Amino acid sequence: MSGKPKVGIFGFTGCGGCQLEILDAEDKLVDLASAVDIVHFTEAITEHSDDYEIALVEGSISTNHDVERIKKIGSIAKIIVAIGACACTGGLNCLKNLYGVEKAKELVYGDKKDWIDAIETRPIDEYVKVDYYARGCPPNRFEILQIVKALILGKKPEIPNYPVCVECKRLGNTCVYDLGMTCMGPIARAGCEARCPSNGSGCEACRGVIDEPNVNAQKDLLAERGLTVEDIMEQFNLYNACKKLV
Amino acid sequence: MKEKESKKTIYVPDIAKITRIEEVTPTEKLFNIVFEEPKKQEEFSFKPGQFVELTVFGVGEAPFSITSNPNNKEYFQLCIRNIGNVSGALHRMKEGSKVGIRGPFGNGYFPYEKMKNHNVLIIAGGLGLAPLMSLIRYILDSRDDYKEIMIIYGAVNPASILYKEDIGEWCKRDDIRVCLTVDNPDDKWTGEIGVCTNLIPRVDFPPEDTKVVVCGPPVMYKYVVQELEKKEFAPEDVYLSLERRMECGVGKCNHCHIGNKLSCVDGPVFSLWEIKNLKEAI
Amino acid sequence: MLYKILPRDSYQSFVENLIRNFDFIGPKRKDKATHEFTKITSFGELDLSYKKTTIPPAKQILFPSTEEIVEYRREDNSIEFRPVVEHSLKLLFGVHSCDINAINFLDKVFSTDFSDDNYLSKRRNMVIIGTDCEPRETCFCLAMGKEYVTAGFDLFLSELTNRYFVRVATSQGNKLIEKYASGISSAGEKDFKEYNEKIGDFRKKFKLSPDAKSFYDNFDLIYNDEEFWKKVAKNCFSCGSCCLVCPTCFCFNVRDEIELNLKEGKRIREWDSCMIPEYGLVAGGHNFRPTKENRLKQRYQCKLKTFVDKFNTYACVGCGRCIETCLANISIASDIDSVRKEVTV
Repeated sequence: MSGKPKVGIFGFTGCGGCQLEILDAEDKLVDLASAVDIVHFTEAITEHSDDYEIALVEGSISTNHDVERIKKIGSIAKIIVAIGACACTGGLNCLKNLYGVEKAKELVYGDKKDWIDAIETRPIDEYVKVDYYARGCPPNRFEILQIVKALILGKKPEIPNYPVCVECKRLGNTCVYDLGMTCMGPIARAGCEARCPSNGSGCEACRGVIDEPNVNAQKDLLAERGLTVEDIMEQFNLYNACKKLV
Repeated sequence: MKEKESKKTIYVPDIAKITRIEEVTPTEKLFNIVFEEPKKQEEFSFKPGQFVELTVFGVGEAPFSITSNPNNKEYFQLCIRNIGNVSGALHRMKEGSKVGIRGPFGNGYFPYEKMKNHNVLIIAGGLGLAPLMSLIRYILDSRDDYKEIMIIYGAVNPASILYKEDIGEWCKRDDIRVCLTVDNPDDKWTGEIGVCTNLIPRVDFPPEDTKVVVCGPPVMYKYVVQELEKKEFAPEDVYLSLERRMECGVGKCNHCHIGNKLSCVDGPVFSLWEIKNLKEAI
Repeated sequence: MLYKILPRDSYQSFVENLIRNFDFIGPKRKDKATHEFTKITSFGELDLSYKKTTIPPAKQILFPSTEEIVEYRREDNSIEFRPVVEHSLKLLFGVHSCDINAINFLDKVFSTDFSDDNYLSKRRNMVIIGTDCEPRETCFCLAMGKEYVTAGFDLFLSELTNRYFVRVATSQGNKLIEKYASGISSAGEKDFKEYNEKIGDFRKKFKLSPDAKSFYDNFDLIYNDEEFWKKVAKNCFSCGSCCLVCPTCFCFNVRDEIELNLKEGKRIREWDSCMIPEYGLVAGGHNFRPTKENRLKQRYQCKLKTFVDKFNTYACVGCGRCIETCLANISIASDIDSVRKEVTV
């Protein structure tokens, strides 16, 4: 990529927190703004443009309108980076699918349900080709910056495909299992600097799972620590219901 | 106390300049490289089969085999396929750009001394010709020291054949036999079709008077070795260059280990006998 | 080796002197489950009764999990690389025999073929004082021949009745004890006798006794038994924890980090593990160890065979950390036994 690449930042179904995470990069934000041209930023810039090379996309696809918009982005952007759990794995929004769309609409909107344009929630890569993933809920702002830097340099960003345990050990953390808690760390994708275990709670796999998760061993492990089948399903589905691991 | 020392560590590259870039196939380019320090360039000597660790600023470092003739003191040459981060960045660089170089590394090289006064059979698959070029160029400089030389080279398709000019020159000579084959021929291809392994049965060198060197993609070795064994070449006389993931090049990061050997310091060239005694080698 | 006696009433002031005069790193309680080696500022913080540290004491200092090794800078078309080497003096107190044996192993790794100054400069500036320990359920250093250490430390303190038996391995250690301890005397016949008994009793306390020699002898024979290795690795998460907590594991990755201005950057090495799928992956896409059973087998080979051939020592000191950390309940000690049960030549 030569010159300053044009970047668009887009939001879909989600809380908008991922875009705030980029805004939170504070001192680095100035550097970022000087390294790329941000032409579209839903949460921060009012004017918008349809001329961009890199699209940073947050949120999951859960309405027919979303589908149209993401396809348009897919037709314009050369590189799409999915940002945050909702865009990468469908995130918490996928829990809706477990009820079935009609049932979920009824539970939330009652007799107004037919006004709602809702479909089964999906991560964005079910509609467009995603080049890179900045995973997590919230995503790691430094990782987003790493990816942007790598794209400027024309290199493939190094995104971990190892589990959270690796980061815990590098940090010297006491295993949260030794502290009497449970954790999805052994199959959850790292890159968050083991944020939750470092702060005394188990990992919930908000960054999705590694390429080859040992799902059976994780089930055994949780069962061994006294979790019921329902509890185990809940742990697996919280951020990864769309993946249908269990 | 973190010190920025002047004393170099094994991890600090020397600065070098890309003096020439030549596109040889749609995916491979040749890079001629010269050290910025004239003294370093003068001292830099290597053996066929050795490699360097090359840094592209901001991107990272990766190992590449040297393809030039060790007798060439003006520059050294790398043949690089656009396949990873570092190689991709290199492919976007221009002549005159600076890179970092550490090396040469590898104590296991193609044993040109042991080949003297013997027939030499060279088997290359794809990009595997690159490190072997260094050997071929070197032994052709003192052609009389060797008996017959036969080169078997297999490429995926005619467009991916490397060093076409050199191969053309060899074909004109009557003191080298060249057997070229491609997996996927185009309309114009009139030569051999198939993998290079298919050509080994034609080799008529007496096994007791022949040294064999092989370099190619990991999947090739098992089949080449089977064919060579049918010809009864002794495992001590067959040498293979083994590619592994390398991070440091100096025997520390351990990624390239094969049993109790490290490809970076003990190899990358091993005899087939050594390889037979290593698990997971081929 | 010199053998000296430190009276119990001089012990605290000796340690306090060391705390005052050195960057003193020792075991301190971290939480209800573990201790960690960290900066100690007062005698009371030091807890030598520690049983478990997640990360071995010296590894994080000598070979940190993330370490800058080169910094670089670019101006127009000129680039510059500079080494980054850290070597401040540190005193490590309360290290157990197994962990000192592990340091001795790493010393060999980082000084063979090429000298790694990033490790060795820190090692040269490290004072090590060993202390004795009580075996845990998962300890098998005795079986690995690593329960006793004869080099690699400056002083080694063993507690006897009312006194400490001090082994002095270096002149630096001798200077420390002469300068900072009072009431030092040479060990006599009675001291040696009690010390000898103590070591003898210690050796009787181990519950695990895997036969590592039999693994070495039988490994080739079971190497191709896919069913066996599948069984052994069935629950493996490929999470790498066993390697990362291992005092002798030293594999690392190298990566570059660059500032957004694209002018300054650094080269970093960080702990890697042969259990992670990407470990054997090359740029062309070929993975030399694609399955978890390949990888676990390779780890055992590295621990129990490779370095016996190379350095004439196991790359396992029997500290048991990998057994304790493994959430899949994989135990190198019981797998050594499984190999022996499967084949015996």
